[in-house]
Amino acid sequence: MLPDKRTQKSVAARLKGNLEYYSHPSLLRRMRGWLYFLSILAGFGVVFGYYKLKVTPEQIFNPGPISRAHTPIANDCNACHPQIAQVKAQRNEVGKILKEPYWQRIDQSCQTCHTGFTLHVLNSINADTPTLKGAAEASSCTSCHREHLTANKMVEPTETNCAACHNRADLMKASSDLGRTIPPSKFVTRKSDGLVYFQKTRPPQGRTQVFARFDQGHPVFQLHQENLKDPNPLRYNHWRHEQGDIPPILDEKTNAQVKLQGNCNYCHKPDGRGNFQRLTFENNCRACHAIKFDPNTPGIEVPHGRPSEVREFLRALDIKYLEYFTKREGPLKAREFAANALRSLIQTYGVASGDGSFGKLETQVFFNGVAPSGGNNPFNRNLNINERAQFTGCAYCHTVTSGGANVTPILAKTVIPDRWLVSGEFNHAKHGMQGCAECHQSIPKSRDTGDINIPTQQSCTDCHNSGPKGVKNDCNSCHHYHAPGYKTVNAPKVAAGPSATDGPAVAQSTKGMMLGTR
Amino acid sequence: MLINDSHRSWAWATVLATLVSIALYLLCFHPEMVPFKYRLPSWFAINPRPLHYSIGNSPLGLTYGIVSFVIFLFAVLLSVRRKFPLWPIGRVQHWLRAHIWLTILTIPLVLMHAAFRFGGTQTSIVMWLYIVVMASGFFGLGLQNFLPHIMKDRVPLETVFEQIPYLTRQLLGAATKLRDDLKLAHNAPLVAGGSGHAAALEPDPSAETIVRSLEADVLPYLGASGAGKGRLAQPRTAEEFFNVLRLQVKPEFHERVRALEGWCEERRQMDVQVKYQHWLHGWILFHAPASFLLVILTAWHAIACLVLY
Repeated sequence: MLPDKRTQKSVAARLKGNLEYYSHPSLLRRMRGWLYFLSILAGFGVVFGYYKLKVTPEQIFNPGPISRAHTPIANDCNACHPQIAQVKAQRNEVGKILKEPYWQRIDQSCQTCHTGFTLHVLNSINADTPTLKGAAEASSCTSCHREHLTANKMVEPTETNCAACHNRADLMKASSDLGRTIPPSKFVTRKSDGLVYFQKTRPPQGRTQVFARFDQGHPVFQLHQENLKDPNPLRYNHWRHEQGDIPPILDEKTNAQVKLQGNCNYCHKPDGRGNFQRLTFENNCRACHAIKFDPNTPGIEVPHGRPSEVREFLRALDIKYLEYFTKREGPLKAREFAANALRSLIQTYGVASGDGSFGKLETQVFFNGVAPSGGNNPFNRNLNINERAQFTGCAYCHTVTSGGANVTPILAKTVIPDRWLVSGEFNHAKHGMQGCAECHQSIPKSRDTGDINIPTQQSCTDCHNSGPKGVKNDCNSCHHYHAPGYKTVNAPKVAAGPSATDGPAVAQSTKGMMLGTR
Repeated sequence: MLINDSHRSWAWATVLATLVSIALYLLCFHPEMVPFKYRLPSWFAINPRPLHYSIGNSPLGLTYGIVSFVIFLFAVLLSVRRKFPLWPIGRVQHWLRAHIWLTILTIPLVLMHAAFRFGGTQTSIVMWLYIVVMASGFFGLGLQNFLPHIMKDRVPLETVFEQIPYLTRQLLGAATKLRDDLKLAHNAPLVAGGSGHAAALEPDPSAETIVRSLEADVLPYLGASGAGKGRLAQPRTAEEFFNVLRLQVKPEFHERVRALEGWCEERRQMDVQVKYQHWLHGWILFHAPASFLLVILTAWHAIACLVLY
């Protein structure tokens, strides 16, 4: 009979016959040892199996999907990571291979396909020196172009990539020093795209201000920093065109009366690519400023063209009148109408001797810069736009200089840049929700052609900032890292790009811009 | 291991290390989230922020990865330490505390090393294995903190786990002996016969009832190889069974019924103990092998990432 009471002694007495129990471990304990052993075996089995079963490294090591553009090489690790092949091929140099930064090997792989890409500006520091560390990594392909993140479009570089150099005083100093040794004309910021870019002189230090982000220390635009003026000799007054006394204009397409005041789009028409069409006399000025020199015959206009063409027109007025009245009145009455019109002109301007011109008419056309006003003057601005003659002479808008006696006057070439911010891109279409004056705040007050009414950098950062309500302010929203036209020393191959003889598309100086030369 | 006041310093150290590691991570990779400006030392090579995406191979990310791996190794060594309890390399209690809190510290370190991503196939396998190991570890820790209290209440007759089969055999032996004694005492004269004196005795119905109960219920229950089944396996039905048995036998047999009841109770508690013991120590069968596997695959991951790619 077992003891009834459970005491220390009774328990000990009961267990007395089995004191060797610890030398016979339970099934649980025995299983544990075996499981440890099996798990270790399984671990090594997995690794061994990987190498023996020929599982591809893409299947096992690929840390994420390959972007759409690299789909053809998505199943070939070695295409970008030549390390394994190198180690296998050069077993005696494994140590050396492993010492190289891994991104250098990947960069070399990038450049086997992307041979046409050039690095940043000429004065960028792409290599490490004893005093400058990290420059080489910062300019490596993979530091900006990150793979294995998405199967769609490759992830865009961020401001951090740019700040890796632009936020480092030592690198910027070195870059500035290097830039001073390179002629400014070597710096090309734009590829040849047929657009006219506003020309600025490159600052001696280049773009080397140290800053972290667009809304943290980004330099103000050079236009504003240097208070640059538009050198265009064409006179234009934004303020005047915003005044309420300008009568509505008949839109020929819609046949509607269009007010000019506050209607920027009347002149600045979208080009379908997010920017604006180039301004022309025909499209933007003629509706109000048609060159109607004869108030009695408002249907006849001097063509807007070269001075020589204007002169030829004015010296063949008898024919022009005849053609005009033939169309308007028919051939029977045309001669009579033309003779009357010419008679009237002769009374007003007189007849010059021998050259077929009408006395002071040419002078009036080329050099009359001020619109006559008052009385019965047909050019009176107070008259309705349909009643008054709109001729005020070329010099009203253009800079006209006399070429001498019986020589065609010279008009300074008009150049209206298509792009004012040369180093950055801007897309008006993306900002369609904004009113023009919200950014171009200086427009309503601008009376001088020289005013460059580009919004300030501050007006951009009002929206493009890293604050909680800020919108995207990555550097690549405006800038491109890979500059056109450069061939870097380090680039192994450069595909057919612009050659040295091509030169940049933009003029190298304001003078060149005015003269229309490169 | 019980989590009690003796863990306080470890817990604070883990919290502090976690906060420091998170702060470094934010300063390094998300400085915009830090309300103050601070430049990390240049020797740390993480300022400016690493340009190449994989945080795991940046100096800080790699540091987190290496520290985590070293902790994994240390955690695995606990099983070796327990094999040799007499080695003078710190008390097992200290090892256990370090095991628990350092592995908890690996949670932020591993997450930040992996940049909160699973990555590719291999890293996903390692990460899932890590999750399994940590989950089973927390499960085991929870069991070890709660089950002993439950066992204390429900298994007052708790004994040495390894002695349970021996004690079960003892109980079965005692019950068998009781049956034989009863049979012998009350049925032997009839069987023997011929003495004239004994033949006059009639078999005792109480003894017969107990023997019947023993053979029908008690002996099968006590002799069951696994957990006992039947009405004696439940305390309420067992109590009812023995109350009825007591009513069916004479008072002088009540002592034997009480003994039988005690043996069945002991057997029942041993069954409960076995069940709890399996829970208490069974998780380690999953946790420890998974940990070994994790260490091996993590080593493979490190070699592949650092050397090959």
